[in-house]
Amino acid sequence: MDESLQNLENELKRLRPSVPSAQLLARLDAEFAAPEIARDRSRANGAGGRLIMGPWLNWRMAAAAAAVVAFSTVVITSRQSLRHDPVAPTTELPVAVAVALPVKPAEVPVARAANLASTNDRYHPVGATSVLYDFKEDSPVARTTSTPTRRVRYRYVDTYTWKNPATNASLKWSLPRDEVRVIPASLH
Amino acid sequence: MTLFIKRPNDQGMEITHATAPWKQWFADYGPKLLLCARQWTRSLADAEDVVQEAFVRYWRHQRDLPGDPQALLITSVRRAALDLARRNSRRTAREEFADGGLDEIVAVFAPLPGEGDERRQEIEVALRRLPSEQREVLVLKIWQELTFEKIGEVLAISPNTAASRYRYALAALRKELEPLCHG
Repeated sequence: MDESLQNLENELKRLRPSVPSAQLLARLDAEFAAPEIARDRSRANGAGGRLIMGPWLNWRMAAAAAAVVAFSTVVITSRQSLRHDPVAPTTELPVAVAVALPVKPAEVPVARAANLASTNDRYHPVGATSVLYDFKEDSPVARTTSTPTRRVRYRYVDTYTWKNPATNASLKWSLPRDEVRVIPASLH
Repeated sequence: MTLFIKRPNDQGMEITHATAPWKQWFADYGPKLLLCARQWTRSLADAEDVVQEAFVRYWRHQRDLPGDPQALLITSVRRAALDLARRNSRRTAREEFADGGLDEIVAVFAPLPGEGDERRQEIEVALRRLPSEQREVLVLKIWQELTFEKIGEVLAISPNTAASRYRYALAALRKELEPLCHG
């Protein structure tokens, strides 16, 4: 490196970076105001702030978590079906017969959900999506009532995302879901 | 590697980053981290958000980890900046990560007394004109005092690439700036 570059380098080194604003310090102050509670809790369970998938989970907790997840699924499904009803425009509004057939989730995801819902409040739900990837006529027109109807099977993949803002770790849980709707048919 | 040196406190005892209160630590090294963050964000406010996120994470969860804490913290700042850029780009698709950087005209260096401050402003303008990949290497080398090897680790490039970007950056700055007359 020649002398002029060396001089320039030395000149740059003499510049001092600006100090952070008082607002940043105040925010950090607030952040660290009660840090030990969370820290001690994470150290007590030996996780160092990470999520544990452990054998200590009992079935009661798993069942509670499954109930929470099932409830969320129903709420999300009903909201989405209200917003994006995929029924063909020639039909009328569906009869109030919507049968949700959620695929039974595996035990491990239930255990994870139990952990998330009940013990580790550092993971927060940040997203839930439902993607419709297939729908088809499930059976020919049925005449079980006076109104002609048809059955349509919708196939979704639901994905739930949790995120830990402290570590940026995230957890995604995807599960398939089939939904059969009986809707009035227009016969000509 | 000056970010985590041991130094005597008022009582003549040595304190390290592991035992020093965060305020003291941040007063010493926060400005350097903020300068780093400015290279990867679009505004001072964004840079402060990024520093806060990375520093809180480091102080709470990572300061007891083995390895080089300086590289860890700078990498953490960079990742937080990338995350922020991704979140922003979802809101405004036309924004890009570190596109020129330092878009906001806010001084990144402390003012100097007298005529020296004019020179500081010239240097800041010249720095803004550098390509971002050269500027980030320059900042890490000059103000974080990292070796080219460490810079390579942080930026995921080879040490040789870091060194050549540094030389290009200095040469470009020299072209932009009038040589300073001493005496």
